[in-house]
Amino acid sequence: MILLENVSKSFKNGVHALRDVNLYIEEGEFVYIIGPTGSGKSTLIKLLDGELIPSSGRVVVAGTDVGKLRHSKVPLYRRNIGVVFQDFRLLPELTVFENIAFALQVIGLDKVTIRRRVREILELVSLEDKAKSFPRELSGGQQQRATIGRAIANSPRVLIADEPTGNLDPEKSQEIMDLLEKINQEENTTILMVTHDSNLVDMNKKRTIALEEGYIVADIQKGGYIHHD
Amino acid sequence: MIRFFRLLPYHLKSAIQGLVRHSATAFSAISAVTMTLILMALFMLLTGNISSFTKNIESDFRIHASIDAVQDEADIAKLQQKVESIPGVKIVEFSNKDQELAKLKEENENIFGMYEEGDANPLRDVFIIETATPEDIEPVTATLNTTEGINKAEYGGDGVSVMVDLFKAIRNGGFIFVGALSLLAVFLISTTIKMTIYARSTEIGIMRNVGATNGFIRVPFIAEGLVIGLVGALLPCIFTYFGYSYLYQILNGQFLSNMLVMQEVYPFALNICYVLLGCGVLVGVLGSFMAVSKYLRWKR
Ligand SMILES: Nc1ncnc2c1ncn2[C@@H]1O[C@H](COP(=O)(O)OP(=O)(O)OP(=O)(O)O)[C@@H](O)[C@H]1O
Ligand SMILES: [Mg+2]
Repeated sequence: MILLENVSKSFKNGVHALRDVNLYIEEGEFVYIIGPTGSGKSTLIKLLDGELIPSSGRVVVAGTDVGKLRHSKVPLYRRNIGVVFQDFRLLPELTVFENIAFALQVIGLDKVTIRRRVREILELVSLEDKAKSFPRELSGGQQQRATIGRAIANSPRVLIADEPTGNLDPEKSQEIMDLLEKINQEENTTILMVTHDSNLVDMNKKRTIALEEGYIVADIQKGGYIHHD
Repeated sequence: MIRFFRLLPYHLKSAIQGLVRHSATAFSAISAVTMTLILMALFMLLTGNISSFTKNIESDFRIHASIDAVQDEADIAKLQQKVESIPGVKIVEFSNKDQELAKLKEENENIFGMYEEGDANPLRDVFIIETATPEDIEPVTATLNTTEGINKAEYGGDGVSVMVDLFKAIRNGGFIFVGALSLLAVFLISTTIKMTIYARSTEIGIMRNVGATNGFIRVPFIAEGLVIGLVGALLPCIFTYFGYSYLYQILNGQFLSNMLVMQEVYPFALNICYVLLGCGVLVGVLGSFMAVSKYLRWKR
């Protein structure tokens, strides 16, 4: 599903964010990406969603060579992957229902399909009773569930989450974690989750990839947080 | 395309929302378009009429060259050939003194009635010469005056050529002025759209995130520019059509003298309205397209 071959990324200012990264992630896997600040985690995600082009090497997602994508094809490619960020980024003047529907509207689905799919999603993320609420009326955890719902609304093959629990307390974080696991199982969505939260990683053991200064320093199938001293 | 129409309600809604949300900047952009187009309208009304004035004047714009007496027909024919070969000369017409007298009598019977045709006719045979362009009149007249066999060459006078020059200056100056104003309007619209984009950057970010195409994202902004352009063109169109009709009526279709006949309201003023609407739309779309394209360019 995701393949990185000898991928390096350096920026104009001379920073080498990723160095010779090799990585293969199977369809339906759930993978953590951990590492200290500045180690290249977000850069890796931006390479995957087509926001950045690798300086060298190959990034292939769901059969698409992302680095070689023409700019005009990036939007269509994006429909294969859902991305969730730490800051929730819901549209404040739209209800939860409308926020999720928005993602389907802008890719041109018809009303009936949209309505049906949004209902499904609301159930999946357990926000049926909040359909008509505005984002400001929701807790942080509920808002993040809504953005996750929006990200998976068009059934992407891959869901990427960059510190989705960064702003949440442990209890709410576990809630998000449970939701992601549910999506991983029920929709067979491949999930990549960037996180700093060692408790979460230790409590929900999964394949864990550790980055440090742009290198992959560990890739442990059985998981667990790798602590630095 | 089908998808485009299905999404039209969404696009229209967001265009209008955009306008309402920053009504202040939208208002300034609309006023800029209105000002530009009103000036453009004035300019077009003026030049449109001026060019018809100039045409009228130019058709009156002939050189009268009287021929020295005592020439026989062969000499006159030779002289005519010579005049025809002067650069800038388009048509040379011969008119003998009796014909000239008849013309004068026709115009002012009471004054010239006393002259009889024949030996008592004080006039001379003339060539009536039309030049290719109004600019040729002066040099051609000068050449004629030094040509042997021509007694005296004259044309409408300095006043006319000064007027033609003035008209030209107005036209050129107006072009530059209106051009500069249009640029200003484009700039103001693109600033307005930039504010809209800024206000909606989260929305655009999300759209990109979930895979909306650039074309899709662009539509509401272009629509907003279009609405600004159209609304801005409304007042100038009303002003042009009714203002000009009114002016035409009170001036009775003439300006100062019957030599300066005004263009008729229909189709002249109506055509200007179309041009104004077209310019409004163009300026609106161009301004928003510039702003949004710059913003949407993928930097990878
Ligand atoms: N657009 C950019 N231009 C220049 N340097 C950049 C750019 N984006 C990231 N970097 C640099 O690349 C390195 C890796 O950044 P990245 O955002 O991938 O780190 P990260 O692992 O996500 O960190 P964090 O945990 O703080 O989010 C950092 O040194 C950062 O300063
Ligand atoms: Mg990061």
